[in-house]
Amino acid sequence: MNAQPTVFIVDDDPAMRDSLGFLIGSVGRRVETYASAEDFLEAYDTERPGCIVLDVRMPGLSGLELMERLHEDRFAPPVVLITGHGDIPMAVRALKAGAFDFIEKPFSDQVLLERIQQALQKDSQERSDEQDRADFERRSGRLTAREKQVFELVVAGKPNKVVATDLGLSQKTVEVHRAHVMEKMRAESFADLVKMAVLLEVTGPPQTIE
Amino acid sequence: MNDQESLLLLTEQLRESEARYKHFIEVTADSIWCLEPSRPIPEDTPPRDCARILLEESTFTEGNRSFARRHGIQSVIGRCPSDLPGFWMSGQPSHAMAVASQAIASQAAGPSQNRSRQQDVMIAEVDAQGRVRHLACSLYPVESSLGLKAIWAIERDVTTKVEEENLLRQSQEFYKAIAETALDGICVMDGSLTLIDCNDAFAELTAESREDLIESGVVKLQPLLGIKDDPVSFESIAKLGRWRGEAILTRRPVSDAALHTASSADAEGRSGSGLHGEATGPKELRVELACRVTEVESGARYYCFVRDLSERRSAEKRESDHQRALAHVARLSTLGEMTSGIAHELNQPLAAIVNYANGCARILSSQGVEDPMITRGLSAIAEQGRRAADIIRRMRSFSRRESDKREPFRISDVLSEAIELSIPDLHKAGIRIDTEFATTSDIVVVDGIQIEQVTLNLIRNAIEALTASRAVRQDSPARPAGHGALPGKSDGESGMTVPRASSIPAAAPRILIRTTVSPTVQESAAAESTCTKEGDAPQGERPQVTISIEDNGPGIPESVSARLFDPFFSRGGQGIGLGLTISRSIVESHGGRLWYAPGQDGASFHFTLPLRSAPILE
Repeated sequence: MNAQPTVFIVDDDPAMRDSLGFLIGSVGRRVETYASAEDFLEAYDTERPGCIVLDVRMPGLSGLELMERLHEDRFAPPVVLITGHGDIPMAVRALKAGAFDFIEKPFSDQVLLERIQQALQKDSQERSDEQDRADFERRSGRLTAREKQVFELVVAGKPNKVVATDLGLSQKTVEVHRAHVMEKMRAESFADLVKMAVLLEVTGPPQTIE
Repeated sequence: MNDQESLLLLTEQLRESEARYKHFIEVTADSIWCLEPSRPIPEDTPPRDCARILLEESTFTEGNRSFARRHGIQSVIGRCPSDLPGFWMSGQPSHAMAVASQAIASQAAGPSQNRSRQQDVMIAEVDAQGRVRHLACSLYPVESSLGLKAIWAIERDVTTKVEEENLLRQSQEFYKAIAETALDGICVMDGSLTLIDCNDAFAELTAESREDLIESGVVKLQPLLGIKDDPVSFESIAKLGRWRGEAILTRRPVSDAALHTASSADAEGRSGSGLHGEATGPKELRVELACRVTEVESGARYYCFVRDLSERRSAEKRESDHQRALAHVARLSTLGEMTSGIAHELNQPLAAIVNYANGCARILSSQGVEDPMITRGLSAIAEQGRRAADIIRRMRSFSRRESDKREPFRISDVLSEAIELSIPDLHKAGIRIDTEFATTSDIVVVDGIQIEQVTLNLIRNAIEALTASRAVRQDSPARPAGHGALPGKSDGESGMTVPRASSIPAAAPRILIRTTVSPTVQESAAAESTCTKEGDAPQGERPQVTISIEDNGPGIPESVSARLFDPFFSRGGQGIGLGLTISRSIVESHGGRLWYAPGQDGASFHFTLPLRSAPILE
């Protein structure tokens, strides 16, 4: 996995594109520039961390349309849109379409760099969450069917006694299963386990009980 | 002479006298007749019955030649009035009624001298030729103790006189109407320049009432130099007979007029216009005067037609002011479009300058370089760039505000209007234009004029491309494939060759204008229903109309199409290279897009506009 995030700049105006790259690059960010939304989509690899800086107004596929295209994927990098001054309807549309933020022209470099910083943080957060989720999923895959049942009931907030009654087990057996779950999931505390359950979206009582 | 002789002589004299009178009666132009009812008509007979008896139950006992001739017969004696078609307008008993009531009225007046019983009445009848004759009729009723026994009548044909009077009356009415209706002031003066009569318009010019004016008879009208620099006084005009030129009409002071005339507000209003910019003073009005002089027994008559020049001049001035204002607005709106069109384009390089300067400053600081001069220079560059962008932004918002008038239009109507305007050019260039308009609802909320301009601009571009390619084809058929769309550009600039019309069978030049609505109504309805769950508007499926202008010309080389939307980039046509830039700016300000796409056999430009049914986000 590529640790260094990239700022992808998509703008049809060569001077704007290059100067944005120059400015963002000047604070040590890795930058890639694309002249059109189509070019970007062709080259883009969802595995690469980063964010997108888009001019909303472009010939061909517009900034908004590119964003809509990106959101078709489950994993879309945050988008900072650059809009014309006073183009409120466009800004509203951009946010509704899932833009991370928008900035109006003319913008201050400070604001742009801050937005990019925040966008990259968000991307990084989302990617690490995604990473964790993948890890937890792998770990939960090692649970036995009985352990999964115990896991689901326990994170639903049921005490061991109730879980034992629900599953028709002895309380002692439930405690053993629970210990196994904690170990296999590498949870350091019960709170940790609940967090994992939230990410894995295993909440609520099981649908069927054997 | 004995008694016998004298009796004979007397009898002879009487006979002669009678014959003489008979002769007079026979030869006179007047009609003379006597009508006797079959029995006397009693005094108390209602006029209606009396009239019936006179018309139907009476006979003429006397009737001279003139009377008989009027009715186209030899003799009327022994005949009944109803036998004489047209007598007393017999079809209409009203005339007979009039006569009868006159006769009865005289009876009712009681026994007195026959002479005093004469009744004069005007009646009309239709003669044998079918013409209406007007008759002045003197009636002499003859009464007995039983009632009306006979009517003697002398009728004089006054048709000519009546008709002349009618004509005169009509003519008088005609001239009266003209004088009363005329916008110009009209007055008549006698030889001593005393006012005899005038119309209301003239009175208004002098700020007096017509009655006061006629009563005083005083008018101060001073002719100035005439058209041919004639000597100017009314005396000299009298010698010329007619005259036309400018004159000064002295008005009553307005303060007085305001006190005395009912239409004081009007008088003041006029005074204002008369005053305006005139050097002749508040009481003097510069007028155009047309004068005609005729001679009557009592001397000269001056007929003057007076037109207020100051008022006409101010109207002319208003008109030309209006024209100037229109031209000014037109210039301003063109300027506004240019400004808004190029503002965006200028913003890009300005923003780039600012970015580069800021980037440099950050690089220096990250490298630990601390040179106050360089830092200051860089921040000044960024600052000035921002300032320039700011100026442009203000200009742009100003021009926007002025030109935005959005209303719902059918896009097909706007396009048709633009096509209509291009017809002369298309005709001249021999280019056919076809349309394929979407049949679904195509209402857009736009500034109709602006969208029309965009369309017009794209059509003109297509015309230019088509005529240029044809010119190349005709002028140099042997030249190898070059730049059909690039007359005057060097080969090096393009760097590529495009297959040109000379190597392709020449198709008739044609422009196609299409509209497509997307998504279709069903699609958009579907999209809407899926999105309402989240309370969100459908983003990718905003209903819009795409307008395509396609030509079958040589198309546009790739190297050129990349620069098409650069401001001041011209393909050597007549324009200054702002057309597409402005067009794109207009379309974008309407929430649409404008782009170029190579067509199948030529160039095609497309632009989109959101349809009115699109969700409004604000």
